[in-house]
Amino acid sequence: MDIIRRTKNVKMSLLDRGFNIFNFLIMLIVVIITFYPFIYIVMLSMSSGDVYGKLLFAPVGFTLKGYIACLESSNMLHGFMVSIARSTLGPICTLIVIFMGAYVLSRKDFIFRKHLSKYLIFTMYFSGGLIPVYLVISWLNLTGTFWVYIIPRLAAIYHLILIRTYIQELPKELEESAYIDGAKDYQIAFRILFPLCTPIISAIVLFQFISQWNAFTDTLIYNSMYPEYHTFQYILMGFMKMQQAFSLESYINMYESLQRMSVESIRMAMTIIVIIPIIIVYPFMQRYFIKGIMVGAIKG
Amino acid sequence: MEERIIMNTIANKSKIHKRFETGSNMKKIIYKQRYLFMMVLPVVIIVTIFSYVPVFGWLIAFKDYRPGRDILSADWIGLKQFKMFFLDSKDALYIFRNTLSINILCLIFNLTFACMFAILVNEIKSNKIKSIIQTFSLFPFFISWVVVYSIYTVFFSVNSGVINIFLINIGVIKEGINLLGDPKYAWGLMVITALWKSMGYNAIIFLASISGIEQEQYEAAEIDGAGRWGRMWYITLPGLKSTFIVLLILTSGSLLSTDFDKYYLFTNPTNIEKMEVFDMYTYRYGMKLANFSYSTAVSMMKTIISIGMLLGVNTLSKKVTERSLF
Repeated sequence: MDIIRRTKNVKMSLLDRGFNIFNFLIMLIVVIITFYPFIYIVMLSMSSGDVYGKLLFAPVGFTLKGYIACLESSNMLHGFMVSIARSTLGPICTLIVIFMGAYVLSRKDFIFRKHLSKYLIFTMYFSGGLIPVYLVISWLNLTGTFWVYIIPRLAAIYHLILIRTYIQELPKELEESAYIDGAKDYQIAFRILFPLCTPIISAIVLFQFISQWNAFTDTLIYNSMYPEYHTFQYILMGFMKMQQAFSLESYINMYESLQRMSVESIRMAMTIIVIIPIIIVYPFMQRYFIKGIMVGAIKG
Repeated sequence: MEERIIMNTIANKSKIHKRFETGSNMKKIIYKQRYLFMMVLPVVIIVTIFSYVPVFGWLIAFKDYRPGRDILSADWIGLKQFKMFFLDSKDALYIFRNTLSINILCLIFNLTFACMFAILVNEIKSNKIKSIIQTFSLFPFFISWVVVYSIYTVFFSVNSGVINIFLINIGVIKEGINLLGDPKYAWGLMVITALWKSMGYNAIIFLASISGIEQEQYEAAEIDGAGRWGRMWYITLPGLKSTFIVLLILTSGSLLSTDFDKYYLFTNPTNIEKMEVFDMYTYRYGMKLANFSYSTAVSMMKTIISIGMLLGVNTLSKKVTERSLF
């Protein structure tokens, strides 16, 4: 028996080895494809020399001109501030609103629980449409304001459901004993349950942060005429779409390659700057996010 | 006989009593749960204003409404906009074709690749390497489409994209492949960008399912002599089947919807015939051409058809696999 098992092991390990190498190569390709582009644009953003068609691993003609140009532009700095503001204020406000809603929906004794759940969840499956929502928002005078970034996003129903599910998994005794001790509903929710929900709440706040940071469509539709509310993402987008128009008009022939290089490096510097908050937040995402998604995937 | 009459009368009386009691009981319960009502009020208000109220705006689709004018005073034109979309212009055909083709292709490729990737990642023995791979493959999911577009122009632009110049230099192609502009690459480009951005993320869902498969199954298979491939084929894959189907159903309701951010950036005048999808069409006629009435009609159609598709797939799934959403 032992001999058979040993020969089996030897056979296994040859096939195994082959498979492992195959797997390793595939993983390597995936990692290169997903990661190298970022390395390239970091290098490009710090290059001033001739980079035409080269695969970069280090800056050519190291310069920080692109970044300095960004920092000197008051428009870009202002846009950055607007982005930061909406990405911090938005998630906090949304969290408060949906946490309260999640708590109420988790209470089995709440008299309208079933109807309210259906009322809220149904909205995940349809949308009024671009124009009707635009009309509602302009009727509320939210166009051309900062609040258009916050208020319509307050009811993040999918995240509400995640919190509700999480609360329902917590032991009932906590709520019950607090209730017996005379705590009111909002005290139970915020003093007792809120701290216990830290994992799912962290995941949701991070998710909301990234969603707010990356958004530019709302600026496009509601605030395009109001530069004081332009976000950094929107400014970068404008830069890019403009480039597209220029290249169609043989912009390349009109300008020296040097000048084009500096426009390119400003664009790259902006791209890197706009990724930086994501990079900062990413390790935290890793910790809480994967757990949160696993919960959502299994329960949902 | 008499007993039954007596019993019935008693039962009816208590029913009447219950109704009275429910009346005052309701008020008592509402008062007792007043904090709950207050806490859930914000969500309900926001959802009502921004998700339900706009549906009243569908009225515009039936009227000759211009921006700035009053809705109620506009002329009624009935189904004229719908006729225009489906019959008079050829637009409905190519919009449906583009949207469905891209979405179905993306769905198939996304799920398949994510599934395969998850299975392969699962086979990696070292946990450290596993998490490094996940870290890198998951990163593109969190960046904005603006950044994605920025990167793609750098790599794939016709005249100056790195990949194009590189391929020209080594003699593989003569001139740059216009990936970003040429309509014939439009659908492929959308699938590639979707994969690049979301494969890592989609794989997590499959990985979660894999971790739910009982170890005993694997051990039993190993005793029965199944090798690496055998175990993957007969245990891991079937274990993922239900996840695959659930994801398929969940996505079926949104086969006409697309990521506005992504398409706004990648759609341009050169590739528009293959690239323009429902949401972009709605945007073009609504915001750019200010034809509110037509745009509303089109998006209304899209929503109704989407809900129909969702219900249809749900019913189908109930009949075939006994598994459904509602």
